Amino acid sequence: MRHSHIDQFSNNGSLLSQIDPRIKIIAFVFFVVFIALTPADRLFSLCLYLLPILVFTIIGRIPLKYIIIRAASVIPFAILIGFFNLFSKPAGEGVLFLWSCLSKAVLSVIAMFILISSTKFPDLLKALEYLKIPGIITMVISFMYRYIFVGEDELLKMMRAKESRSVNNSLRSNIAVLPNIIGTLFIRSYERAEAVYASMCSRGFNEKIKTLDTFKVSAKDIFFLFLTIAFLVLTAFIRR
Amino acid sequence: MTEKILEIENLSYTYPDGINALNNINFNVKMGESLGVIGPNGAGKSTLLLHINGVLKQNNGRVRVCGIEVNQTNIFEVRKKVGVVFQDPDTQLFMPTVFDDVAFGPINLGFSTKEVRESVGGALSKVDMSNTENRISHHLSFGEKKRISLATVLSMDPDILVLDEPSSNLDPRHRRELIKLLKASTLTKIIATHDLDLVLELCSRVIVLNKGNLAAQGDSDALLKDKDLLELHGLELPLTIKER
Repeated sequence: MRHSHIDQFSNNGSLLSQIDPRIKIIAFVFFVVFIALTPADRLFSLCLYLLPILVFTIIGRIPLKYIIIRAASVIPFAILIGFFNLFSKPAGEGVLFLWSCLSKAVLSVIAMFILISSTKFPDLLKALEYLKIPGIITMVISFMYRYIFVGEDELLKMMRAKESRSVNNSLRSNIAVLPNIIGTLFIRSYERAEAVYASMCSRGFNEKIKTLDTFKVSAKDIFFLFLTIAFLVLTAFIRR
Repeated sequence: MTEKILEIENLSYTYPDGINALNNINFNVKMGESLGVIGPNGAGKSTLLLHINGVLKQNNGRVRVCGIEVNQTNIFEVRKKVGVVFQDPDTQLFMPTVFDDVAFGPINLGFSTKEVRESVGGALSKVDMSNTENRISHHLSFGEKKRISLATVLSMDPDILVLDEPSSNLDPRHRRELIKLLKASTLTKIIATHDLDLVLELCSRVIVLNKGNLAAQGDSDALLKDKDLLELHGLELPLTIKER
C-alpha cells in the first residue's frame, strides 16, 4: 500500500534541507516563540513574519500551496478559541484576540510544517535527542512514525474483510462493528509491540536506543541561525 | 570430534496462559551445520527458536550456545552469538531507516563508529541491498524487507543464524534469491519453516516437532522422503520429491 511522506521536501537538495537539523530546530523554535510573544496589537510585526516564511519556502523549494493547505487545518480551532473570547472580553479586545489567535496559530503551524517537510524525519528525531529531549519521547515518536502505516494497513485489511462479508453496508452496521475492529486493532498492536520488543532484545537492546551521530555544523548553518535570530530581534523592536 | 555450537537438554516451556509449548526437547547442532525445524502450526517451532537467544526463559532444562549456558547473567554474550530473524519483517525492522536498523545490533554490541559503518556496508552488500542505507523501512517492498531483516543480524557477525519462516509470503523469484543467499553463507543455520523444499536444499539435518514434542530427527534426505512419518505429523512430501 502507498503511504505519504511527511518529509517529502527533505531530499530535494534545497538549501533549507541541507541545514543541520539541530540548527533548524533551534531557529524554528525561536521563530515560534517570537510569534507567540508578539503583542496582538502589533499588526505590522505579525505581517512581517510572513517574510521569513516566504524566504524559507523559496530556499526549501516547498510549494506555497502545500504549506497553505496544511496550515488551513488549524484555522477552525483558532477561530473557535477566539470566537468564545469575543463575548467574554470587551468588544475591541475580543476582535483583537480573535485576530491574534488566528494569525499566531497559522504562522506557527506554517513554520512547523516548513521544518518538518524540509527535514528527514529520522534526522529530526536524532536532532531532538541531541537537543536533550528525553529519549523515551523520541523513541515513542520514532515507533509511531514506523508503525502508524503498519497499523493503517491492518485497519484497511480488516475493513476490507468486513466489507467483503457484509450484505448490509449501511452506516448503522458500520458503526456497530467499529468497536470490534478497534478492539482487534488494539490487541494486534499489543501483540506486535511484544514481538518488536523481543526482536529488539535479540539484537542487544538495553533500555536505550543508540544511533550514530552524523551531524556536523557548518558556517552555512551558523549563518542561517544568525540571520533568523537577527530578523526576529529586529522585528521585536518594531512597535507597530 | 566436531564442536557442538548449540546444545539443548530436556527443554520444556509452558506459556503463562498454561499452554504447554515444549516438552522435554533434546538435540544438538554442530558448528557449520544447517538444521531444519519442521512441524505443523502450533508445534512449538517459534517458541523453540526464542529459547536459543534467551528471549523466552525455559521452565526446565538447559540451553547452551558455544558452550555458554543461556541465562540472565550472560544473556548479552549469547545474543552476540545468535542472530534471530523473525518471520514478519515489520517486527524485525523497527527503526526509521535501513541504516539505523542494520546498525542497531552493532551499536548495542559496542562497535566503534568505523566498525558500525563497515559492518552495515558489509551486511547490506551480502544481501545485495547496497545503497539502501537512507531508505525508510516502511517504504520497502516485502522482498526487500526480508533481505534487510537478514542484514540486521548479519551485521552483528553472529555464529548462529536462526530464521523463522524465512520464505513465507515471498514470491518464487525472491524465494529463490533468499535460498541462494543462505546457501552462500557458511554460518550455522537453524531454520524453522513449512517450506520443506527449502529445507531439502539448505539443511543437512531435520528435527520434527509436533504438539511441543520432538517427534523425529535425522538426515533431511532420508527423513523428508518418509511419507508416512511426515503425514503423521501434519506434513507432506516436498514437491521436488513428489515429482520424482
